[in-house]
Amino acid sequence: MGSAPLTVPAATSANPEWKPKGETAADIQGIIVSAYPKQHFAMFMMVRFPASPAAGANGWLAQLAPRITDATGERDMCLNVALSAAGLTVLGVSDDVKSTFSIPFQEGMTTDNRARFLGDAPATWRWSDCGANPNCVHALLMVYALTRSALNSAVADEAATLASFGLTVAGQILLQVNLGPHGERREHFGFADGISQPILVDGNIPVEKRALNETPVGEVVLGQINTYGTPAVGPIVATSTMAAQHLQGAAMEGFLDLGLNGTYIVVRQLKQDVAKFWNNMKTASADLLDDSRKPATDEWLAQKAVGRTLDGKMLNPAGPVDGNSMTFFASDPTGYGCPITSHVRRANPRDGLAPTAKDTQDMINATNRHRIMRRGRIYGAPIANRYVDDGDDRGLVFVCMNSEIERQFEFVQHTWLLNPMFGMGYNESDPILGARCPYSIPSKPVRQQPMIETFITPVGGGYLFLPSLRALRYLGALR
Amino acid sequence: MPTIVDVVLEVDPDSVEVMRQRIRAVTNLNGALSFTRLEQIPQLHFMSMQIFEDDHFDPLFVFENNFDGSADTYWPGVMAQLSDDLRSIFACTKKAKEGEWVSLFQAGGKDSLVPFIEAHSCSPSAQHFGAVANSLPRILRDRGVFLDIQSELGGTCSKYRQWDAPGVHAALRQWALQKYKWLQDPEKPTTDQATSTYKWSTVRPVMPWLVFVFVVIAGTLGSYVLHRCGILPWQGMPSLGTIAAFAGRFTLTLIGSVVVMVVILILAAIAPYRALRRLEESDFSQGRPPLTLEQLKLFAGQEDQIVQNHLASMVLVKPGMLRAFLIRNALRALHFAVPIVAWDGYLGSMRTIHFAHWTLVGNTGRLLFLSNFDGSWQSYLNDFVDKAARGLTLAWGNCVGFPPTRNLVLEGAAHGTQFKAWARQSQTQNILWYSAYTDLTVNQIIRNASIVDGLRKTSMQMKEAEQWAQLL
Repeated sequence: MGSAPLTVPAATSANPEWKPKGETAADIQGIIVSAYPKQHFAMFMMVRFPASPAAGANGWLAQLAPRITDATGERDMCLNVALSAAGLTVLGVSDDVKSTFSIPFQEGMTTDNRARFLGDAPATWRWSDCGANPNCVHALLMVYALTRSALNSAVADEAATLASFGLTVAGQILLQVNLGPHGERREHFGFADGISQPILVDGNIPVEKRALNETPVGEVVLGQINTYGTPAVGPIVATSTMAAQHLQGAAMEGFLDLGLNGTYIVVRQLKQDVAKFWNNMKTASADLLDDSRKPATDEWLAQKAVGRTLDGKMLNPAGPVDGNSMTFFASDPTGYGCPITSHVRRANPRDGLAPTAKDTQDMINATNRHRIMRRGRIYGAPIANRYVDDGDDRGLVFVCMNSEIERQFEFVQHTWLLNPMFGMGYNESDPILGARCPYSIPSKPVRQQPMIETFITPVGGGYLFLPSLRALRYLGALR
Repeated sequence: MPTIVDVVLEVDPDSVEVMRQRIRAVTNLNGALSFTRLEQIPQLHFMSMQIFEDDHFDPLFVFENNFDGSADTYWPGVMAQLSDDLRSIFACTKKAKEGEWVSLFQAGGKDSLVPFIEAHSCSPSAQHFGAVANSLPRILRDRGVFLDIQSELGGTCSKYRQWDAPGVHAALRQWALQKYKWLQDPEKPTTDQATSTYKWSTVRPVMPWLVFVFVVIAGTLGSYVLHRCGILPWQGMPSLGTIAAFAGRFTLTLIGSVVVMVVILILAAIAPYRALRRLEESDFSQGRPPLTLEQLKLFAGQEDQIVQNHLASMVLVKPGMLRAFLIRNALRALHFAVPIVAWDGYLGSMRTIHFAHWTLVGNTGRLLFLSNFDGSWQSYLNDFVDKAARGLTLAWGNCVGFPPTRNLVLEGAAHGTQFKAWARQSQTQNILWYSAYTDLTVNQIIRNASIVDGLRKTSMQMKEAEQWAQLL
């Protein structure tokens, strides 16, 4: 699951969080460093460029660039933009340059191989990054505002601007914030969400001096030092007079850095069937016993499936634990508290898969090579009665940023979340995100294994490039 | 004990496409993929066939076999299923057209292919097994027991949850004994016996030599020390003062001898070490191995169909005497060390490899790597980088284009992005790949076996029973 934190208990941190300064702060899009916690109202506008003549798209980007929110400070209204590979083609990016982008980004999320790898069936998706899809998104304009009326007027302004350049809005997703009793952000099933996030730190800090969730900034920001101690590789363009007006030199002689201070952003629209979830929890928990061997409730099973309590505390045999600084090996190695194949343990196993105590630090270091920075929010109104389907369309727009899609987002999705053999599972899947399958709950004297249905269906998604401000100006000036 | 054998043969360049089609035909049944014939080979865990093409060599056919027991008992089973296919495949190789073998591949030839296979078989230079105690029949049998237990327990375990853990064990054992009479007999060999046999398999053959060398060195050193200290055993019991003086001199002499030996060894190693460092600093490497979208699509199309994947890689060994010496001895060291340190299947903290091996081929000019592993390519290669970088660097660091190394085991594979691109570029697609158990990871094989081992026990104490019940 993936919405961003509003009130997150401070994680244990040994190093100062990375903050862009000076020119970098003015070059980096704000969404990379902030979830815009005060802006409760947001709209994702799916922009489609006409196939030809395409100069309108460049002109739009050129006038948009000065209005894009950077990382120099807080704004009331925030505006960010990302582009798909198909969008770059229309903007006039040459095949040579496109070939320097990350391969999943070039290919898109919906190729047959990728769909199989990610567990998707994109034939019926509402939108995607695939150039062949009639609902292909070329640009994603992300608008955030403090009030609904401010959002409405900003969106109307942006739509008018797009129209003036001959561009169309293929679709819009209104993003919501649903606050729980303690001001925490909740997703539609009712769980506090967005608690586990990496903390970006200077990439030059050696791994042995980094705390549990600390991750080198290059894992998210291209051109910065990543987990392997080298600058995260991004796209480059051959030096030209025009490009040199906008971009900085790349490490390779004769090239300029198109990726520096940008990132790859993964967007997935995940439709949630809330009534089906709670009704399944009710029927599947009917003959189970809870941790104190009393008849289990639907909430007990739902919390076991997620691995956290509804208000976001990590399950543990000694009682729920606040925050995000918990590890598993010492306090819950067998998953009697937080099941090994629960959603949160699959999404971030920390040291939980270490075979022995001496492997725990290595396992944490290895796990931290697959972290993603999440920025998702829910869409659709919260359900009135969680057991009664009202037919409304609601779910989560999962958004995450990473510098290497294969090693970060795709790894988390395939090797952890949907892996049928994860932990002690046999032909299981993520109990929240995965398809219908049995779910093993470690219990005494022996495991319980309810059948968990499918509640979440991806209905759209794509891999996008979130350029730096310099790169945006360059792309605007391409034609 | 499992065995790995590769049959390595140069292919007639004109016949590569024909050979490819004939390999595909092995698993083609009326246009669909079928492994029925391979399933009849009783010892076979994993099999692959691929052709490595290279600008500098004729194509090389590699036929990988991972099986139980010895080659003598394995090949008849293969021949019973694939004799005609293999004859037509081998006919595309250069050797099939050479003197003594020609008659074997003439139309209607029926003579046994086994001598031809044996003549062109290679044993691994170094190898690793994930579940060494588990023969194929045992793996399949234990999977059946595991699945039956899952059905018996059901989702709620209502028949068993009134017991404590030892009670669950006793009740399940009683249920299982009705179904599986063989549980009353001891496992032969037991998991511990099979593991122990494997653990010492590389040391056992050289043990007499090790003992001999030790005795010679200890004897020579001992006589020398006694002589230097002026004590001759046949001159009767010496006085206490003599013994004390002897002990002092003995200790000093022993320490002196060891120091001298260490100094000599260090001095002798300086020149080769400096030569190695010179090579490591001046060897050419490949910063960005070229990978095209098309290549990657081909791999992606083949991978992640079952819980395991296959990796076939061939690289060139760096030139020069020192590199030739190093790679042979690095692989020899791995050959000896892997069973002793990784007998339980764990390389570091990773246990995802079923069968993997390195083999030097072409008069040690090229290094072949074949692996049958759990999970995706990306997760496997990440495990290499994160959990086994040193061992990999030791083996692959002597090969052309590998990321820069330091002191043989440092850096190298730890250059994650570069190493992964290098590994991908060295790979070729398999044309045939077979797994005898497409739904089992190494961990699951060992889990199933542990459940069955537990069922054989007549009773369990609380702690043991709790640990056993966690496997269910």
